[in-house]
Amino acid sequence: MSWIKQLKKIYVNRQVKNSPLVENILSRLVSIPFQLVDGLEDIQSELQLAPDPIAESKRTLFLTREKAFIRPCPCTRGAVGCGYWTLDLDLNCPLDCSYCLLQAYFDLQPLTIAVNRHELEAELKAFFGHRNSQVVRLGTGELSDSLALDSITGQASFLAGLFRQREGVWLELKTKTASIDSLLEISPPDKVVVAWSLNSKRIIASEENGSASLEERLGSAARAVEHGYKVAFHFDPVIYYYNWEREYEEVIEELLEKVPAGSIAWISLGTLRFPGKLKEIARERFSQSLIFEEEFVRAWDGKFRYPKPLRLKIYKKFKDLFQAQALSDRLYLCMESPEVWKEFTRQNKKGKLLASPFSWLN
Amino acid sequence: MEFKEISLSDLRLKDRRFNFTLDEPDEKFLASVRQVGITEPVKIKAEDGSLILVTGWKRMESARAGGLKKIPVRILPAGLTDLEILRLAFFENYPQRDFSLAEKALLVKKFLEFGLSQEELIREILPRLQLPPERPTIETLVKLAALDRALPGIHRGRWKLATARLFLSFPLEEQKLIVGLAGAFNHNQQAELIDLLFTLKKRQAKPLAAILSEQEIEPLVKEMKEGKPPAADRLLTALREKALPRLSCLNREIQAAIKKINLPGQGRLNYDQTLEKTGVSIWLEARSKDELESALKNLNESLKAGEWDTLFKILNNKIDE
Repeated sequence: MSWIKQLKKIYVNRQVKNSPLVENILSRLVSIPFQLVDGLEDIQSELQLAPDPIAESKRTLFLTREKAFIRPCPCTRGAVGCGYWTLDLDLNCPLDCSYCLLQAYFDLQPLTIAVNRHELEAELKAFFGHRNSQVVRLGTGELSDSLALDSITGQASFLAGLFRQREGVWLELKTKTASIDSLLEISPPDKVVVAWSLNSKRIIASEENGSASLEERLGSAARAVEHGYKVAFHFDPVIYYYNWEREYEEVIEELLEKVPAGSIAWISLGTLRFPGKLKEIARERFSQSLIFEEEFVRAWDGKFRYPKPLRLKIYKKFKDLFQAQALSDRLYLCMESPEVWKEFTRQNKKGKLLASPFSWLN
Repeated sequence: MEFKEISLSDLRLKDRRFNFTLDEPDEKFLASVRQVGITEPVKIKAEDGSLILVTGWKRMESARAGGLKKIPVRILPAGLTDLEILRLAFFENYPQRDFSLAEKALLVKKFLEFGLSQEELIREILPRLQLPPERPTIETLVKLAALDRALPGIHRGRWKLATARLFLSFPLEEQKLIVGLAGAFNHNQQAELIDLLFTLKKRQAKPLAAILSEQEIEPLVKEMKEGKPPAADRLLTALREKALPRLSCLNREIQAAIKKINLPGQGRLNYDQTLEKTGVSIWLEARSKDELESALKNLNESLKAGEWDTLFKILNNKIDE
């Protein structure tokens, strides 16, 4: 794991110093110095002295406890939601994508791993108890990459175990890595979906620093399917640039060559969008990146987006490509306006969640 | 602290080590000084027989402008270091007013020069300046403070940190070009100008001079240099059109389509210029049932005549490459 080589220091919250998981993680990272701290503030005072505090936060590990783990996905104001729930055990991500919202969302947040899993188990139990009558999707990929830290946390297989035989409740593990080894060591629970964020080879190389190549991602997706997992894909953010149509078409061709269409649980689409703060950060940290210099409008939610006609053109292109494989019913849009949804699906989605229309999940 | 009145000429005003004020005294301030003089003593440091102004730079300037010969002062106790004095000046000022980014840059530079560590700056000063308490903030402010002659313009333009960072990413020669243009714009426009120039430069991979020499831009730059104020607005519009070509083109087409619609009487038509919303809103004015009926009739006739077709066609259109 290349990110482990970059790790400079581990901090352990005194409250969890005796946790077996802490011992386990430290035993895997013996060459990295560690220090006990009273809280996040002790670490932040170090991070803020770094020339690039965001990069430094990705080289700093913090083992701690969190108070709560499950929350409804905040989506974005005024967009059509998809009924997703986030399960946040890790905060921040060792990958360094230029467009990553976490750069603006977190403020001096080291790579944080919550080790109080018994409390997570209790929260999940209560959650399962209240939600047994409808299809629910939860995922760990909102505030981190679901599998990037897995080699030291073993979190994926732990979580997969908790979702075994849970009717109507789906766990999604979303990643830009190829780290699925621990998932291949267990028998796949049928409601656990391994998902990959995909992008064109050009964008992966120029914008998704530290992530696996497209080939590696699709190769691991194929192995996951072979092992019995359902998989999902997220074309998010789709980035508009010269030759985007051809290059995304190639991704889809490669995807469908390697992964059987029948194993795909869902596919999401979302075009590049970002708050002004992210643009400021990314322009500073990724001076070679051109993606923030395209044509954007400040949309209804205050975020910058491509003009709607361009977004529609992009979504239509993807829909056409997947329609040819009878996969268009697996598609949904992430954080889009009711107007775009309407034009995309030719149905009025305003005010409705999308979770129930995933009829094939039942 | 010793209190006394001294002659203005006794102050060594060339020594500006404690000055971080870029505001000039306004008319109200001057009028007040003319009426009642300086009522609040300025603070000074006595050093090797010289008197150095610490706080009260605006009061001193007003006193000079108002023709006062003497001002009341408090002399700081001997033995205070420059750092301690700057800290005193800062804490005396900061509850009373907001500092501009240019003033904050001066402050940070002076604190560092007087020996405050980066760590102390980050922990103690930056949060009070409402700036991100991080090392990159200090680096930006130090670079900004080094611009010296451009600082008053940056102060007047009320730049934010993000604008300063973009500006500093241009090479020195291009910074001069920008400073030469920016003075003609208000503060929001200055931020937009720098943002647009940054985008265009990066997108086109051309030097700024080449962008400003383009056919649609060069005459406007020339007019601006000749001091023709409306040219600034037109330059901004031209740069926007270059940075947002699709949207600008669609908006032009929409405006043309709207012009072709004969709206009744005082009727108005609004649409979302970001094109996020396809719909339009129509505003009609009627003072009686008859007027309303007539307005609706006119509207209906314009619909039947096909005057609205182009507008809705464009609003529902897709972008063709």
